[in-house]
Parts: sequence; structure tokens; C-alpha cells
Amino acid sequence: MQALPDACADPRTRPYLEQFRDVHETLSGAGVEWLARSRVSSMAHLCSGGFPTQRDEDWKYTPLRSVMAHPFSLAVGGHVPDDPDRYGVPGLDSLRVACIDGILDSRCAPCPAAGLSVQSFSDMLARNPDQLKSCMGKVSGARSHGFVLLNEALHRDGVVIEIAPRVRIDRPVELLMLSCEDSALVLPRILIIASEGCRVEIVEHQVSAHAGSGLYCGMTEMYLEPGAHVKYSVIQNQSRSAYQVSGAWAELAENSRLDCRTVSVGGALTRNDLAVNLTGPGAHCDMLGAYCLSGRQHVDNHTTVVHGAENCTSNELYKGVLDDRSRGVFHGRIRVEEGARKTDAQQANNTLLLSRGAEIDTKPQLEIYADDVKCSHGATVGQLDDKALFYLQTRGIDPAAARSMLISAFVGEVLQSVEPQPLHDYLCALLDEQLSDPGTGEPGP
Amino acid sequence: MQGTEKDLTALVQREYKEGFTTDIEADTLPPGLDEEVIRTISGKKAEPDFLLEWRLMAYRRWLEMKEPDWAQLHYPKIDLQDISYYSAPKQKKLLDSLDEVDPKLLETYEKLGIPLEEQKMLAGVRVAVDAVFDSVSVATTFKKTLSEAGVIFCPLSEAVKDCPELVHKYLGSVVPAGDNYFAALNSAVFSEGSFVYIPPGVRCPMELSTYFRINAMNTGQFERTLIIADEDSHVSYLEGCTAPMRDENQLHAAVVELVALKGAEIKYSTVQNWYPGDENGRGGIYNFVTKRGACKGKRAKISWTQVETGSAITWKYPSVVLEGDDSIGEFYSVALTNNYQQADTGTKMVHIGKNARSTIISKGISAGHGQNSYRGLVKVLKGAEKARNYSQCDSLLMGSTCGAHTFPYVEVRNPTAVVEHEATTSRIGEDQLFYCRQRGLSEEEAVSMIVNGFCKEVFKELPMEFAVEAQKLLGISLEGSVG
Repeated sequence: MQALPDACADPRTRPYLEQFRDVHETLSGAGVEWLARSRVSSMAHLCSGGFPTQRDEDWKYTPLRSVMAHPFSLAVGGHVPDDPDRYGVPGLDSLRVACIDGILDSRCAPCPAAGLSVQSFSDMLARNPDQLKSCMGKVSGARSHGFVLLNEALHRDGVVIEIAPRVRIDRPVELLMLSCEDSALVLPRILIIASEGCRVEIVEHQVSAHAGSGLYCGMTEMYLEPGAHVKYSVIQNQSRSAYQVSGAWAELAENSRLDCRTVSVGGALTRNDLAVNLTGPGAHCDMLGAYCLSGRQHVDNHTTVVHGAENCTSNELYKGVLDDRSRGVFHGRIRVEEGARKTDAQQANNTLLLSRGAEIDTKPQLEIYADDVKCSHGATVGQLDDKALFYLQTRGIDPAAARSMLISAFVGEVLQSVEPQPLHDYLCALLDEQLSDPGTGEPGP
Repeated sequence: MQGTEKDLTALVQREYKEGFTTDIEADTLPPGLDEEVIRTISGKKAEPDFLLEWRLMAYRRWLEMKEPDWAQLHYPKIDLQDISYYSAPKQKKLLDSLDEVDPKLLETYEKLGIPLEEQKMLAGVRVAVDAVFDSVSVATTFKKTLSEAGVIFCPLSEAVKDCPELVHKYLGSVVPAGDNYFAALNSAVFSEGSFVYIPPGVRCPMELSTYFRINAMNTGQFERTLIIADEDSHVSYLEGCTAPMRDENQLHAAVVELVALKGAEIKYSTVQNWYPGDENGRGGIYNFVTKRGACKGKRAKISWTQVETGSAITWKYPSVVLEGDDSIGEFYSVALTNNYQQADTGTKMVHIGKNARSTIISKGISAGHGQNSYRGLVKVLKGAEKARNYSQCDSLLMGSTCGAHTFPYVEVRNPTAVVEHEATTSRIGEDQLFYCRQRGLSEEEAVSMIVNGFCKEVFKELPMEFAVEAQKLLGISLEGSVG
């Protein structure tokens, strides 16, 4: 087995190496040889390669100084709230599964739906590790940076969701990712295996039970078998002091469909990697995102979609509203491989800047190696339309209400198709709350 | 469509008619680069001390720099010690008039369609030309007419002697010596280039033009152009270039600096037709160019128009720094890559002043195994009130083995800015072709019509004579390319 390094090329990784030495024999699946080996190798890679810096093109606009200012220690667990349900999406009739600081809450009832299996990672590793071997890290390993490696080395638990072939799950599955321990390093893993022809809606709902800091590095892997249809929404509503660097990776087989939606309102600094690989002909992917930021919040959405087969379509739309001194970053790459004929890929990023001091850095990219394609991308940065504001005011609507109406309508495009209603209402409420004090919009001092 | 493919291939494989060499005795430095070489170049040109110091400073900065590798380009490492940094056709003495120029040189330019004898120029189409052959300028036409208007148009080496204060003040003021790897190299070893100064309030009476020609083997061309438009003046400048066909790659690392003072306007047009290499990707020019303009004063305007059809590798980002309030930056580009050509080109628009506007129109055409990338930056600084940018990047793909890529960067730090970027990628539709053919056009005519339509927005920005040449060039380079 590969030995752990003694030295760290990047000093920021040292505290994590020390933690690894202390705990790696007690982590889940410690007896499973392939996993232990992969953990050690990930740690070694982290030590030699280090965490990203702004000199890395993919991290150009996201300073990690604050995240790296002091090391976080791995959540110890045991901070269990009495009633995790009260953090759930209100009124949503869902199959709720709670993960507390990245560890599946054992109190959560086994899922009552037929054809749906929800297990904890550690249970699965104890019982049937080889089933995981074939899919763990298969997609995500391809493009790893320091935070992915950190998760790969030190993850404790998470959720494995499997949907049986041709089953339709009527109620949404709500993964309540609850952060309870202050200043902890939380490394959850989510694995979704959607079998042939199944249908499921999953809501990953990240909430903090405290107002403190913490570093959340989640990894989600999704495998969609032929004809599967997965709706996957991520709601990021963590504490305003929390840091998050998470990634979701999906592989889509022929005629499968993934509808992704990311709504970010919380957190001090959030980085979302979303990579979708369309490997089978006829696959389709929708990637929608909304970010509403204020104060000094920072959100970096880093998306990639690879068209690797014929007749695939993708549609991406990220919309954001930036107030105060917040900063938004968008990176969207569409890559069309040679031979991926009849590709249709669209992408757009629109941002409203509401105040002096807010900043948007956007990088929509097309990389195309096939000719029979229809690809486009667009990016706009601007303000509220003065004419529209004026019009609303002539109708007797006061300026503040008119502004928030226009802003809601702007972001609303991303939420339009959200079902069921309680989820839609909840998302709208979150955004409204974030915008309730949208500032005056007047150029500040 | 099979017939079409064949037609296309035939069309694509046109000959590079500028690929001849001129057999002329040259004074060439041995390959290699060190401080001594720089001192020699500076000595040969009898430069003042400040320039030599500047070159050496650039060289020292360059030694610490790394060759950039972020572009979407793949090429073997360039051995910069294997290049000769100075080559000049041998001439007996200083020239007083064209009659004394080696007839072989005149003949070369005539063959390229650039007559240097003023009387031979077409009546009505008057363009003053500075002809640069390898490392030196061989002739500048219409000097007299221009000097009557107060315009200075001469080789940079002459300007260093005649108006050193202008050169000292502006050289490196837009592209500093240590700006990037290739600009630093150029600053250290630049051998020739054109210098233009337009005095306040003067509208330059004719188009100015520089024609660059690489001839000698194993040399690089490192020219440096400096154009200064003083307050409320106007100038239109054209640049053209060709090189012989050779199996090895030659390096061209130029720097162009434009300075537009209050109310001045500079229009800079390029038709780049360096040797692109053969159909197997052998040979061709490596074109690594730094071009930047600064709108220093209020209402200054700089407009870049480029038609890039040559070079094996193009790495070029003509940019505008919009310092003045109400200033305007424009970038119009058509880049064509065929066979194994690679282009990574685009622009930077940096908004600093208030109410500045910028427009970017980029058209990329890829055929064969060509790889064409647009890479651009629109940056709006905190104080740049009411900045306005519109960018449009369209790519046309012809054939299944080429690639088209778009990498725009948008950074906005002012809430009054309005920035729009859009990009599309498509190919010539079968329905479009069908429609044209049904109207009696041949496949080739249809393709050329569609391609010209695709590029129209850029071509209309070119000065007339250039627009004709550009359309012809594109027509020839693409004959037969239908996807």
C-alpha cells in the first residue's frame, strides 16, 4: 500500500494530514482494502498537489484565504437535534432522510416506497462493499482538486439511493443535510443509482442548525441508466459564516434525463462544481441555477457538460442577483466531442448587479469538436430596467415593491417549473427573504 | 453531399501564391540570443542609450518569464536559441530615393501586388506604404505628401533618430517591456517596424500601410509598431504580411502599440496572410503577437479590424484600454483555420473611464483539421460608470474534424454597466445550400456567398481595397469547404 507522505508541499494540507493519521483506521470501511488504499492515495495526492489557489484557472475568481485561514476538524458526531424534521421544507409531503453533519440519522424511518432503497454509506460498506467499488469515485475521480481529495480521503458516511428499474417514486425524496456542529469539517457523500426507466425527484436540502462557521465538502455522484429520469434540486441555505466546496457529477446513459437545479442563498463562500457527462445517445440535461447574495457572500458555480454521444441536448440557465459587496462567479463549459452529431446545447448566465461593490465574473465557454451541432451561449450583466420600474410606479406601486417584483420575476424564471407547489413556495420565500432588504439600488458611497 | 465534399477539398487546397523566396544576399546574425546579440542589434541601428537600456531591461525580465501555455494551442516547444534575431538585405549605403533600392526587392513587392513606386499606384487609391523586409524597412512611400500634412510615417529606427522624445515617451507606454513572454522578447530584440505620429487636429490625408515580408531562413521577425494620434486627429492604418513556403516553422512575435489622445481616432486593419503550412500541417509561421491600444483622452476611439487567414499558429489579442471618458473600443475579427492551422485569438476591452463603449464582433471559421478559439475579456472597473459592451462571437464549422471554441471572460465591478455576450456555433445548413442551388447557384458560389454573409459585419469595417482582398483571400482559402 502507498505510504502516507511525511511532508506536505502545501502547508495548508498539514492539519488534514494529521487528522487523517489520527482517524483513518476508524473511518467507515476501514477493513475494506480497496477503500483504505484509495483513502491513503487521495491523502497523498492532496499533500503533494495541495489545495487550489487563484493561480489555478478554475479558481481564478474564488479566493480561499478565509476558508483556509484555520483548519477545521472532522465532525465528531453526536450533536443530534431533537427534531430534525422542523428543518425540512415546510408542507412538503416527502420521504425525508436526515444526514446530521454528514452522518445518516439512524432514527430516520426506512423508506416506505417500493423500489426505493436508501442506505447509509457505512452500512453498505460493512455489508456489501464490493457493490460500491464499481461506482464510487468513478465519475468524480476524473476531475479532482484538493477538496474532492479531502472528501475521498476522510469521508465518514452519506447516503446511497437506489431506484429499481421502471419504478416511479411519487413523493420526492428529501435529503436533509443538517449541520449541527459548530466549526466542523463535514464530508458527506451521496450516491444515486437510477436504474433503467425509473423516475424520481430528489431534493438535497442543506441547512445549518447553528450560526457558526464550518467547512462542508459534499460529493454527489449520479448514475442514470437508460431511460431514467431524475430531478435533482439542491437548496443551499447554510449559516452565513459557513464555507462550502461541493461537487456533483452525473453520468447519463441513453435517453435518460437529468433536471438539476441549484438555489444558493446561504453560506459565506460557496463553490459548486457540477459536471454532467452525456454518454448515451438521446440523453438530456437541464441545469438551472439561482443565486441571491448580499453582504459579503461569494458563490462560484462551476459547471461542465460533456456531449459524448449523438442527439444529446442540454440546456443551462443560471440567474443571479448580487447586492451589497457580494460576488458571483459563473463558469460554464460545454464540450462537444468529435462524433457527437446533432448536439443541441444552450447556455446562459444573467446577473443583476444591485449595488456598488458587488461583482460578477462570468466565463461561459464552448469547446466544440464536431460540426453538426447547434450550440450557443450568452451572458449578460445589467441592472433593473428603469422603464419597467417607472411603468410599475405609474400604476401606483411604490418603488420598493416595484423593485422586488422585478427582481423576483427575474430570478423566477429559474424556479418556474419547480414542482410540487410547497417546494416552489419555499424556494420563492427563501429568495424573497434574501431580497427583503435589497438595498436602495442607488449608487452607494 | 459527396460531390460537395470533393469540391470543397479542391477548393481548400489552393496554393499559397506568396510562397516564393527572394534570392538576395543578406546580412544575418548567427542564431542565438544573449545580451551581446541585443547590443549588436542596437549597435547596427546606432540607437541612443535609453533604447539599449530598455532592451536589456526587457531581456532580463524575459529571462525570468515562462512561455504561456493557457491557450488552446498545441505545438512543439520553440527553440529560441535556434533563431537568428537579425537579418537585413545587403545594401551598399543609405538610400535617398527608390532608385537606389535593390531592384530584386522592388520586384518582390511588385510580385506581392504592393508597388513601391508611387506613379505605379492606381489613381485615386493612394496608400502610403512602409515595406519591411525581414528585419529592415526597405522603402516608405509618399513621405513628402505626408510630411506636408505634418504626419510622421517612417521606420521606427528612423524615428528613434529623428524624434527620440516621442519614441522615448510612448514606446512601452501601452505594452510595457515585461508585459508578457512574447512582448518581452520583442522588446529585447525588435528590429524594425513602423512609427506614425499624427499631429493635433490633422486628418491623415491617406491610408497608411506597412507590408511585412519574411524572407530569410531560420530567422524570426520581431517588428514593433507605434502609432500616436494626437488630440482630435484621425488615421487609418493597414497591415499586411506574407512569407515564403518552408517546411520549418518560423516565429513572428510582434508588438503594436496605439496611443489615441483626446478626441483622436485610430483605425487599425490587418490582413494576416503569413504562410499557413501545407495540408499536412508542415511548416508555417508561428504568429505570437501583442497588440494593444490606449484611449488616453476623452472621446478617443480605437478600432481593430483583423482578417486572419494565414499562420500555422495565431496567438493574438488586440485590446483596447478605455481610459478616457466617452471613449470607444471596437474589435472586428474574421479568423479562418484550415488544414492543421490553429488560432487562439480575441480581444480585451478594459473599461476605466466613464461612459466608455466597446463592441466585439468575432467570426471564426474552421475547416479541415483547423482549431479556432475565441478568447476575450471584458473588464469593467469600479469607477467605469455606464460602461457598455456588446460582444458577439460566431463560429462556423466545415467538416467533422475541425473545432471551434469560445472562451469569453466577463468581469464587472460597477452596477451601472451593461454587458452582453453571445456566441453561437453552427455549420452551413443543408437547407441553406439547397435553397441557393435551387436558385441556380453552384455549390461553391453558394458556400462563398454564405461565408461572405457570415463575415459581412467585419468586412464592412475594412477599408475598401482591403475588403476586396480579404474577400478574395477567404474565397480562395475556403473553396470547396462545405460541412
